[in-house]
Amino acid sequence: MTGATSEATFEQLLQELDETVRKLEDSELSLEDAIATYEKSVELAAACAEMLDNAELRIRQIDTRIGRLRNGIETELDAFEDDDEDDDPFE
Amino acid sequence: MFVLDVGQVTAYLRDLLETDPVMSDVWVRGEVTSFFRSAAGHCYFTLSNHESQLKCALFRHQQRSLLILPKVGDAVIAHGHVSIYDSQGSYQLYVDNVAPEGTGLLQLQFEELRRRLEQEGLFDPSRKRPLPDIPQRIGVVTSAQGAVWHDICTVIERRFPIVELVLAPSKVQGPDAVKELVRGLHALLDEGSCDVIIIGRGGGSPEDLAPFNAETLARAIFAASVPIVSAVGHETDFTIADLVADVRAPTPSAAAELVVPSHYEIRNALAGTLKDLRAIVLEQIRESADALAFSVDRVQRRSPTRSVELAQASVASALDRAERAVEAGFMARTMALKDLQMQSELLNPIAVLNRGYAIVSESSTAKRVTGKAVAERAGQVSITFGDGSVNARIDKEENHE
Repeated sequence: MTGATSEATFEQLLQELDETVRKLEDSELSLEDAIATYEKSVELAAACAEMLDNAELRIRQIDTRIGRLRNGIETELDAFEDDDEDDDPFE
Repeated sequence: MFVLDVGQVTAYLRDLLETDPVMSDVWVRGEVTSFFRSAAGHCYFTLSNHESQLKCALFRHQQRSLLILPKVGDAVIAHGHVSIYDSQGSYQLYVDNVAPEGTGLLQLQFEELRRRLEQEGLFDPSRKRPLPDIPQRIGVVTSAQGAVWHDICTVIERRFPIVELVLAPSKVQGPDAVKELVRGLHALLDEGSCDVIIIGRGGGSPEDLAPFNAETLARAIFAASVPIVSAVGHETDFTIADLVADVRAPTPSAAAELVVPSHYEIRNALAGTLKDLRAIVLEQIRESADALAFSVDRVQRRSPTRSVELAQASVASALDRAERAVEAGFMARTMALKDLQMQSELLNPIAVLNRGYAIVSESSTAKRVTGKAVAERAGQVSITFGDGSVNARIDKEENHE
């Protein structure tokens, strides 16, 4: 990955990938250029996939946190409500 | 020497009688020897005793509170004031209370005062003040000796020990009792720090309780700026002080119970409040938690998982397209190459030689020999087959065609 692409968003990368593939599909490239273009499209696809893998991982982490959060609140509330309310708070 | 007219004498005597401490407020005992009731409803009767007689007038408005009217022959005791009846030049007793003889004097005095104060509104329930919920300082007017002070201290110590108790010591029976009770009450009121005052004594005979039936004490209680609790004797005794006080306690111990809350009650009330508070707060937390869970659900339903899946599909499809495009390009090139190969195969002279043809070229110049004349002229030629060349000499042919 070049410095220029590492700054790019996923959408920009995907667009670039699409343009690259279109070039591969539409135009009459020299073999050299076709191979270079193909290589570039694979690199772009790999960069996209990596970003998506990261996104998936983050979503999974967030889901885990949400689950923990919800269980935590429920558990603490239940613990509170189950407290023996007949205790004399002044004793 | 004075010379007065009749009216002046009458006025002078009336003034004398009406300002006299005995004649202006007197109980008279005697037998009713004549009785007359006027058309207007006023009663006139004579009280006799041996040779003495006293004319009495009992006006209609004074009769309302009487249980029975006197009649001739009754031995009675009458209360009122003595004054002059101008037109007859005679004195008479203006009666405001009359009861059969044998009724105790104290009882009659009590009834008379009670009636008067009641009419004045001193016992009116609407002017009774509520006791403070939690007093800071309690005044007590009673004897420093005796059980009352001790009982009150004991009850307060048990129920609500943090309250301050102030004693205004006073005699509670005997000739100085009324004066001392009133003074004690005033001392506490003037000092001004008590939220409530208990005034009382233990049980006793009607004579012992008499100070608590005194009008001056009743008026002092009525005028007090803080609620007064009366606590006189045991339950059956009832005094004027009890009637005028804001709260009547049957005994001094009961008075102490009345003026302070039990610390157990306060603790229970506090515990109850705390429990309510806790329930309210828990309920609010529960509601907030539910709202949070709802929001979290909404967030999770809009989780970008689906977007990621779609994006992954886009990337995969782009990659597929790239592969297909490259594949197609490769195929096209391969095909083109093959075509060219086939074409070049067709044009390859070696292949012709392999089929039995040969190339003849001049040995000296390596030029192709394109005809008979060239060959004859060249003499020496090179014959090239598919697998190599040989040299050959052209014989001159004699024209034998």
